[in-house]
Amino acid sequence: MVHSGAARTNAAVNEARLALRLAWRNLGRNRRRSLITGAAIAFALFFAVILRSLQLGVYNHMVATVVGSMSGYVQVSDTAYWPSQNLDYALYEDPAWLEELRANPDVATAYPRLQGFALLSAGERSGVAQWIGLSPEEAAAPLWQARLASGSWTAAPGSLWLGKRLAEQLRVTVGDSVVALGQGYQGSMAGASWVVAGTLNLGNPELEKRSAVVELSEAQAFAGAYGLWSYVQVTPRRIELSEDPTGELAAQHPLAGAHFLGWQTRMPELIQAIQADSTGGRIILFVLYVVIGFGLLGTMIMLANERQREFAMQLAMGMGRGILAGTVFIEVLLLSAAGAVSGGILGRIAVLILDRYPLRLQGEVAAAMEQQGWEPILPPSLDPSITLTHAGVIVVIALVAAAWPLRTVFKTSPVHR
Amino acid sequence: MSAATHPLLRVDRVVKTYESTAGPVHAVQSLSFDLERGAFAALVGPSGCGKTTLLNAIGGLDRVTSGQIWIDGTEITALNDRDTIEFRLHRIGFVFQAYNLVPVLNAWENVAFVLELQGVGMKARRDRAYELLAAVGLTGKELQRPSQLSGGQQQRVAVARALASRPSLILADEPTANLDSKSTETLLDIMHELNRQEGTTFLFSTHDQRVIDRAEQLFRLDDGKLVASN
Repeated sequence: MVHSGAARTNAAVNEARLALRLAWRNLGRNRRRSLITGAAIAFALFFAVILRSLQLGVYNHMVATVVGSMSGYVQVSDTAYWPSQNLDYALYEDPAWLEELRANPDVATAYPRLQGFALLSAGERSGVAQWIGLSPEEAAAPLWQARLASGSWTAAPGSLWLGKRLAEQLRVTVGDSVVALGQGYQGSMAGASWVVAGTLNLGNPELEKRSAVVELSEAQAFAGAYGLWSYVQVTPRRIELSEDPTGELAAQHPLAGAHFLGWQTRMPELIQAIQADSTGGRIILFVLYVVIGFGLLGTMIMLANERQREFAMQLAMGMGRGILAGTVFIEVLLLSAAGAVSGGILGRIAVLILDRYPLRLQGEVAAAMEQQGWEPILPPSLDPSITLTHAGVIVVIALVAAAWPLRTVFKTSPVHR
Repeated sequence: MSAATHPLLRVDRVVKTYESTAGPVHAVQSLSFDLERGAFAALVGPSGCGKTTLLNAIGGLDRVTSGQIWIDGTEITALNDRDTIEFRLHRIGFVFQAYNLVPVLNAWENVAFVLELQGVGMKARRDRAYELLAAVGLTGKELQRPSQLSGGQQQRVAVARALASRPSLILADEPTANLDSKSTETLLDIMHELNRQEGTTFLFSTHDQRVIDRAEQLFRLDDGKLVASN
């Protein structure tokens, strides 16, 4: 059969339009089934988005509270400092190097600290604390200013700020004295009497139970570690720099005897906990997707059986199998896309609401979380890629399920009309 | 074969054999006949005699085991799948027992279905569809979906659809089987009139006496063989 190129082009355009029109109208031919199928896709995505957002949100929260603001995304320390965190492996102060590091546009903040452990006591009560010597610049930063639960940031010598739970444990308030006793630099005894100038909200119950903050020079005097830093806490502007700080940053700002360590290296147990929990979440999502996938497959089998006669007739009339398969494909694509868009929007709204009003855990679960060191709330991740990724997954599942009616199209004989 | 000097349809020693678990089934056995242009003819015979099998083979819907079928100078038994589909699309119209309209298309869209596949523009196919719907007495029903039409009306839409692309041959497989007497008479009147006016060739497969009475040429089949023709 010989037909002109223009006729072939017109036929192709008409066929594409016909396929689109048939697919669109087919969605309305069994409205209840289309609605149920679309709703199944929407709810699957809705739950997947909430589940994954909460899971990733909790991890972000853990990292932000445990890592980001306290130990830091990146630490520059003596190569022997980790994992013992021994005061003896401190760095010599190098203000010129620090200024150069701070001038790097990829570095948001860089603060030197001196850190160690001590026994604190007030009257008859005592407790172990990790003391942190903060530079005046760091203490003046909005982050620490915002953490003040009571009292004030003062430059008065001998001032101490306690995690609010530690203050409760020692039963001290602003103005009370606390005695500190510990090991100083190179085996010296460290001792001091400090006055509580304030208490701190650290966003992490475990940190609030064991953190005590003093001014850097006060800490150096306490430990006899004059002119020394335990480490420099660095917050990069780009998150990937904290994942591999040894590359770019270390190369640009070498410091003799020191190295750059990301939090992932310093805290492998946190990474492992996140990975273990994340795997559990993925298994739940997998089960959800399997259930939805089989539901969709059932719908597709029904669709194929109902239309087999119609497929045969259309083939007999001269409709190509390709265009017929295209019609079915577009129909499933429209249906799954509608479900995915609805579910994605609903899921996103729910995530935004949960971000504004995060779920707060109660009872034993809350206590268990506090014991592990983080606040018992479930803040969601707002990363839009979660919605997009899972919408994509569910559309792909729907399209895989569409393989059944497509197979029917290619197996149907026009004789069986 | 020249279209001007030869019959519209030539069936030449066609054999169709199916394989089944009980052994080969000889549905059509070395069957030959010619059908002239403009004929109003019918394949008749009892159920299972091979009428539908032969009609499917003539329409290119099924492959023959051996033999040749020529339509309008083209040997369709020699065409590949792609060319068979093209040939069917442009040269053959079908009317089915169960109407088989597309349920989500309205009456005029169903009539224009084949034209749309052929690449005919919107206005031309709409005009043709409305013209044919008028010819089959369905003026005013153009925008109704199949579910809103009676069985007889649906079959008339199917006839209009078969005629839409001005095919050389219309194959009608038991077109009146699901219709009442009045609808059958109306449908046959319409088809006969179109046969006369447009010179369209009709070949029915039927055992409906009312169709047999109207047919101008009969091919009687029995057990896959042509036993009589007039």
